[in-house]
Amino acid sequence: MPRTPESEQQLHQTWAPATGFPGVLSEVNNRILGMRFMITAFIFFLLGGLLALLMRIQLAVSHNDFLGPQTYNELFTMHGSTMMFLFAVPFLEGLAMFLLPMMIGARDLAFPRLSAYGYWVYLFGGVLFYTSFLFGAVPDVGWFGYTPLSTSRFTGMSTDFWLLGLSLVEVAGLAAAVEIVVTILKFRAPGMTLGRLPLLVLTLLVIGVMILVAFTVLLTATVLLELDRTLNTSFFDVNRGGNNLLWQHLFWFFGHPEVYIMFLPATGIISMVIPVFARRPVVGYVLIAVAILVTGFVSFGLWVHHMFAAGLPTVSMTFFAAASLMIALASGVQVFAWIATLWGSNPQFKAPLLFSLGFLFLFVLGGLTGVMVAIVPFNQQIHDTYFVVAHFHYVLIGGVLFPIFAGIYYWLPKMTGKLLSPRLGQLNFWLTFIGFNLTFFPMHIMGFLGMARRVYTYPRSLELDGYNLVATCGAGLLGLGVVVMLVDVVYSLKRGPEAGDNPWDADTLEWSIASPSPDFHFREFPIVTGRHPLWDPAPAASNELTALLQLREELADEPQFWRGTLVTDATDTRPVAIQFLPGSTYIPFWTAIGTLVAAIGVLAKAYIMSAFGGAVLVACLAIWLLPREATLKLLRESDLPSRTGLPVMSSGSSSVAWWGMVGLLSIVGSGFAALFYSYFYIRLFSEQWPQEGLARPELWLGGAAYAALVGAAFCQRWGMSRFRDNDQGGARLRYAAAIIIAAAYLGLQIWDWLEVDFTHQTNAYGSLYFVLSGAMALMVLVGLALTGSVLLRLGRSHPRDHVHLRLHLEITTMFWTVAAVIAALVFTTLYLSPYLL
Amino acid sequence: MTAAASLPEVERPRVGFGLFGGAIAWLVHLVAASIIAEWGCISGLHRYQFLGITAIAWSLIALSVVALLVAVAATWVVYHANQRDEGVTETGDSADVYDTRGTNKFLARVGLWSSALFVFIIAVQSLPILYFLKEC
Repeated sequence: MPRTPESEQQLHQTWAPATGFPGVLSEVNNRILGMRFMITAFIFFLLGGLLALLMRIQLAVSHNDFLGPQTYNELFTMHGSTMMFLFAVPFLEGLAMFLLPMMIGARDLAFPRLSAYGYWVYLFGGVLFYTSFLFGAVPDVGWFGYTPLSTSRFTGMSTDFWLLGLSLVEVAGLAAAVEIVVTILKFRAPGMTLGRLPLLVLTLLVIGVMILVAFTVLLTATVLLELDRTLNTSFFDVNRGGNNLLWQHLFWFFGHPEVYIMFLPATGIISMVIPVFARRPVVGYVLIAVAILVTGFVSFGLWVHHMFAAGLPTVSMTFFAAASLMIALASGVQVFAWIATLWGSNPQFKAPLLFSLGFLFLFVLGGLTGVMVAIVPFNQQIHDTYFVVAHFHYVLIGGVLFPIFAGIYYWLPKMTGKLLSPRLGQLNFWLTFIGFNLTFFPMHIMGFLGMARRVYTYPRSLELDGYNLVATCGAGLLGLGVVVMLVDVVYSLKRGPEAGDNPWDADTLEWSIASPSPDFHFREFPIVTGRHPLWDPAPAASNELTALLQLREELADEPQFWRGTLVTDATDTRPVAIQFLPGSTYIPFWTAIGTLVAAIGVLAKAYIMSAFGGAVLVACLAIWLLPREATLKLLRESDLPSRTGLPVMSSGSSSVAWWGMVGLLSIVGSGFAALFYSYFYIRLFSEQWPQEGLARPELWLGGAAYAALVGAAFCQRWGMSRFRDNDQGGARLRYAAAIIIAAAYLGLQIWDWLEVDFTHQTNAYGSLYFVLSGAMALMVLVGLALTGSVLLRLGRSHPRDHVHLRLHLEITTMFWTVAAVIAALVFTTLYLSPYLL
Repeated sequence: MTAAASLPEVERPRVGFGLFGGAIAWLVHLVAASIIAEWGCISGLHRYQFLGITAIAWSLIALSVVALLVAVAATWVVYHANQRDEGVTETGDSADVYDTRGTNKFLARVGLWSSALFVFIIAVQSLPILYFLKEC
C-alpha cells in the first residue's frame, strides 16, 4: 500500500510501548529492553568497580587492616562474579538486542517475549546475588567456585546465593543467545548475505552459538553442585567416588569460551568503529571473518590451560598449550587488519576511535602475556600470582571494556538522539587509559616478585608497597574516568546537541533511520547490495531488484494492525514470509517471577515454595506457548498473503519457531553432553565400576524402557507423515499411541529406580545414574506436554490454520526425534557401558 | 541463467565440509588425544611398547595422521571450489541482490583459510607427541 502520514501514524500506534508503571513490566520491544539490559549491566559494573576500589584501598600498603580476610574474600568473589556474569556479557547482549534489528533491517528480534523474560530473569538473578549482603551470607568462594571449597562441607548459604543467582543469569544468557542467532538467521534484509554481514553481526552470530554450548555446560555444572549441596549427591565428593577436578573441567569448559564470548563482540565493535573514523572499508574482511570463526572454535579447546597446575598428565597439557598458542594467530590477523585499515588514512580522533586505539595497544599487551601463560612451565611458575591478574585485566578491560566504551560513544546518539561532548570524551579516554596502565602494569612485576592473588595482604619484606600504592592511585584515576563518562552522558541528555540520523557518516543500516529510532525501526524493509549499505552506490537495475522494490512498496507501513516483520531465507535472504510478533504482555514477567520463586525456595530449603514457583512457571509457559485464537484469527483474515505472495503463517525452516526449537534442542544436547562427560570422567578415575561393588543395571528393564521411548518418537514421525497426507484422524491416533508408549517408558523407568539397590546418595555412580535417567525422564515429560497440546488441536483447528498446526507438529516431532537419539545415548551410557568398559 | 541456478544444491555439503571439516577434525583430535593420554597414563597403557614407542604414542600418532588427512581434504575441497569461481568477488555483483555466487565464493575463501589454519594447528598440536614417545 502507498505510504501516507495516516499509515505511518497507525504503524506508530501498533508499535507504541506500554505506558505507566504496569507497562514497564509488560514491555517486549527490543529497543527498550536492549537499553534496560545495558543500563542494568552498567549499574552492576559500577557496583563491581566500587568493590574493586575497596580492594585496592586494602592493598595500597602492606599489613593494612581496612578490610579483614573474610571481607576481602567476599569482595573479590563478588567483584569477579559481577564483572564476568552481571556486566560484560549482559551489556553486550543488551547492545546486541538494541542494535541487531536496526543493523540487519528488521523491526524487532525473533522472540520479543523471550527478550523480556531474559531481562527479568537477569535482573532477578543479579538482585538475588547482591541480596546476600543483606543476609550476611556474601559468596566467598571466588568467581570460579572451586570444589571442595564450595561444597556444603565448607560453605553455607553464601554459595547457594552464588549458584542460584548465577543460574538465573545463565538462563538469561541462553535466552539472549537463541534470540540473537535466530534473528540473524531469519530477519536479515534482502541482500544481506553471509558475505555482506556487518562484522559485529558476524561476531554476534558466532558468540550466540558459543553461548548455547558454553553456558549450558556451566548451568549443568551449577545444577550438579547445587544437587550435591541440597540433595546430598556426590559428584564432587571424593569420599563417595566423586571428583573435584570434574568441576574445574566443566567450569573452565565454560570459562575460557566465556572470555571470547565477551571479546568477539568487542572486536566486532572495533571493526565497525575503525572503518567509519578512517573513512574507508575495513581491510581484510574475509580474513577477519576467518579469525572470528577460528577464534570461536578454538576457544573451546583451551580450557585446560587454566588447570596447568592441577596435576594433569604432561602430554595432555601440551595439546592444550599448543592450541592456546595458536589462538594468537587468529587474534593477530584482526589486529593487523585494523592497523592496515588505519594505515595511510586520515582518521578522525574522536572518542570512539580513541578507545579503539587504546584497545589495540592494551589488547596486544594482554595477548602477548597470554602467549606467555600458555606455556606450561611459565604458567606453573606464575600461577596464582598477580602476573595472571595483570594479564587477564589487560585482556578483559583492554580487550572488552575499552571497546564497550568505544561502542557507547559511537551508538549512544542512536539511543538518545543526543551527541556526547568531544572534550569530556577525550578526558575520559586519557583518565581511563592512564589509570588503567598505572593500575595493572605494575601487577606484572608484582607477580614476578611473588605477590599472591586472592590474599588480603602481603608482607612488607616483599617490598611491594610502592607498586601497590601506584596501582591503587591508578584505580582511582580509572574510577574518575568512569565518573566523567557518566557526567558526559547526563549532560548530553539534558543539553547535548541533536545527533541527527547519521552523525558519523557511517556505513551501516542503523544510521539510515532516525535517532532515537522509532520502535519499529523501518517503515519499509531496506535492500542491501554490498557490505556498506550507506556508502555503496545505488544498485544496478535487475529483474530481482524490480520485484523486490514492488514487494517493498506493497509492504510499506505494513502490517498495519499487528506487529510484524519480513522473514528471509537463512542463506540467500530471499523473502519467505511475514512474521507475527507479539506485543506487550505480562506473561514473561510472571514466568520470570515463577523462576525466581523456585530459586528462592531452593535457597531457603523451602521446597514447597520451589514447587509453587515451578507450578507458576509451567502455567505461564503453557499460556505463553499455546496459540491464541484471536491471533490466529488476525492472521487468517490478513490480506497480505494475497497482496504480496508471502504467507503470514509459515512452517519448517521458514518459521522462526522451528529455529527456536533448534536452539532449545542445542541447549538440551549440550546439557546432556556435559552429563555424559561427567559420567565417563568419574568412570575413568574409579577403580571399580559400578563403584563399591554395586550391581550392574538390569539390561532388559532399561532396554524395554528406552525401546519404548524410541517407539514413541517413531510413532510421532509416523503421525507427522499421516498429517502431511491430510489424514488428521490417522495422525491423532499415532500421536495418542505415542503418549501411551511414552507413559509406558516412564512406568518402566520408575520401576527400574525402585529396583536398584542404591540411591542418588550412595556414591557418585548412584548420583550419575539417577541424574542422567532423571534428566531423560524430565525431557520426556516436556515432550508429553508438547504432544498433548498437538492432540488438543488435531482435528479441531480451523482449516486455514493448517500451516500453523503443521508447524506445531513439526517442532514436536523434532523434539521427540532428538529425545530418541539422546535416549539411545543414555541407554548406551547407563546400561551398556558398565558391561563394556 | 540466474545466479541461483549456477550454484547446484550439491555444492552446499562440499562448502560445508570445507568450512567446518578442518575445525571438527581439530576438535576431535584435541579431545580424543587428551582422553587417550589421560586414560592411557592411568590404565598403564604406556607399558606396552612397539619399536620402543609406547602404545599411547602410537595411538596419538595415528589419530594425528587421520585428523591431518581430514583437514587437508577439507582444504583441498574448498581450494577447488575457490578456483572454480575465479573472477567472482565475494561481495558479488550489486545487480545480483541475492548474490548466490558471491556468497559461495565468500564461504569458499573463509573455508580455505580456516581449513589451512586448522591443518597448521593440528600439526603444531601433534609435535609434542614426539617428545613423549616413551613415557607419559
